[in-house]
Amino acid sequence: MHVNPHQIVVEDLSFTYPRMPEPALDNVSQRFRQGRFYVVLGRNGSGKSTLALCLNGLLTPGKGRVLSCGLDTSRPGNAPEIRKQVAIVFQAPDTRMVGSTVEEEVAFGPENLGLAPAVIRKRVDEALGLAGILDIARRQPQQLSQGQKQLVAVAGAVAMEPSFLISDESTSMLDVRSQAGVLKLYADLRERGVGIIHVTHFLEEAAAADHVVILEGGRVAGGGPPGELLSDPTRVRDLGLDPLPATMVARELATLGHIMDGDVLTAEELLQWSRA
Amino acid sequence: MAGRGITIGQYLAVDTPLNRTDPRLKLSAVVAGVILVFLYSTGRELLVFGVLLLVTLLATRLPLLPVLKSLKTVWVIVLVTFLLQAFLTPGEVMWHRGFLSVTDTGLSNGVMLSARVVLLVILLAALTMTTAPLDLADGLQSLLLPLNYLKVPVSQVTTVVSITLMFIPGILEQSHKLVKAQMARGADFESANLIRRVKDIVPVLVPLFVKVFHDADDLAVAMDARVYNGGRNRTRLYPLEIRLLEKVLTLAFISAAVAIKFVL
Repeated sequence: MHVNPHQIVVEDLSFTYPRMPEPALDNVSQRFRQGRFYVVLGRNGSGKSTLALCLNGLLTPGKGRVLSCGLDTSRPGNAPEIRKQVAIVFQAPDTRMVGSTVEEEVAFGPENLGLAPAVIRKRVDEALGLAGILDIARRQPQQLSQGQKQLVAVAGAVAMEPSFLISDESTSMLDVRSQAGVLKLYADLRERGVGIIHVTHFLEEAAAADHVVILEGGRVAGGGPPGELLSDPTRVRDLGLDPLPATMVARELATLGHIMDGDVLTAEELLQWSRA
Repeated sequence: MAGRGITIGQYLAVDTPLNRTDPRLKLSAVVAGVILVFLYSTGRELLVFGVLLLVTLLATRLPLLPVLKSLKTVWVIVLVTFLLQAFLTPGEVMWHRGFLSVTDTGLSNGVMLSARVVLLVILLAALTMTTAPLDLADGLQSLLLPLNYLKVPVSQVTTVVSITLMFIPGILEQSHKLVKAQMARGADFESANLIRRVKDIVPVLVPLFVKVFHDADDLAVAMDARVYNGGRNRTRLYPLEIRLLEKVLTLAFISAAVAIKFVL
């Protein structure tokens, strides 16, 4: 296999948790490129989070292999470099914070990299600025809203200056506005050349992706651009997911004779189309 | 409810000179204080040390209420210590009823021991309230560094200490939630029947332990994901730095505490 430092390559990956009869991941192969926005969709138990943990070596393959930025995750010696290159943000930030202030929390990763204080300061300020939370730098994480905590967690990952950022259902516990804030941050990071792999069960969040991967029962059930993959309700149902409401409305309108120009995945797109 | 309003072990992010003081100096002062509290042999020495401690805390503008609230956690221990000493220590009987008798030595020992416990709690509360867990870990690590030569995993030990401190408020909050949930289902934690109270506490402890282990695992994974390797080669956004004034004031506090032992 060609080793590419700007990709995460998953090849025939299988993983079974101890004392579990069925594999959480079964022969998964996928390629993630830096600078693109991927959404990994699937129902609970489909293996999404297991895949996320395998991508930065927090879990190592039972079978097959994962090459993260050209480094084999099975080799323990590669772990620090992989963690540096492939950052991860989790679902519930509350139990995962170590800093007593927001800036200390964000600085934790760069501190572990052994960077000079001035470099850490620069990275922390940049990450907080990008996340739009510079004004809360001195506050205690416990005092923040759930949305702010998640932005702090993302800023902590960004401060590592990773090539990829994996989001393991990082928006699932947020209100709609906070969800939008975190997704916008991911879009901004993508513009800066970071590869985003956003694991979610919200179909709506896939609309902004460059590429969608659908997992079902630990296997890749489908993949492709969101418009192509999610605009056909029948296909979406076949993949074990519920079609998007905006798509359903657009389809219904189409059956009534309204001509649609392109795919409709979000309420905004539906609104734009109706105005046009 | 047990655990409600407890502030011991909880960092207070307030801007006081004590918060800004280097953790190594605070640790040194607290260690000296703890040793001296046990070396003081008279009530007068303990009282004067108590005054010194209070004056120091007031001078540093640390909010005293949270510090004193931490005593709520140990009042039962203080009371039991006092009663056991008062009733069980042989000496000249001062009060007698039935098989119970209070002796002068018992009373004196009880007061001394209770005062020691109170002073220790105030010392530790002042340390943990003014020192962020990560700073505490760094301070401990720096002071215990020579133990590395004896193959003691200093980094890991100090991280465990700091993480434990971080977990205390969360555990208390979680236990509060669980107690409320159980009370809503009819559990009676105020019952006079001890067996019933013990039976009712089990459904609180089991999920509490499960949650704590789960949270600890989450935290370990999150730290691992951010390249934490036991603190080796770790740098800091705010490197530890001892300023001259801090050093002089800490030395003055320790000297005054030592003087109490040898001058009074």
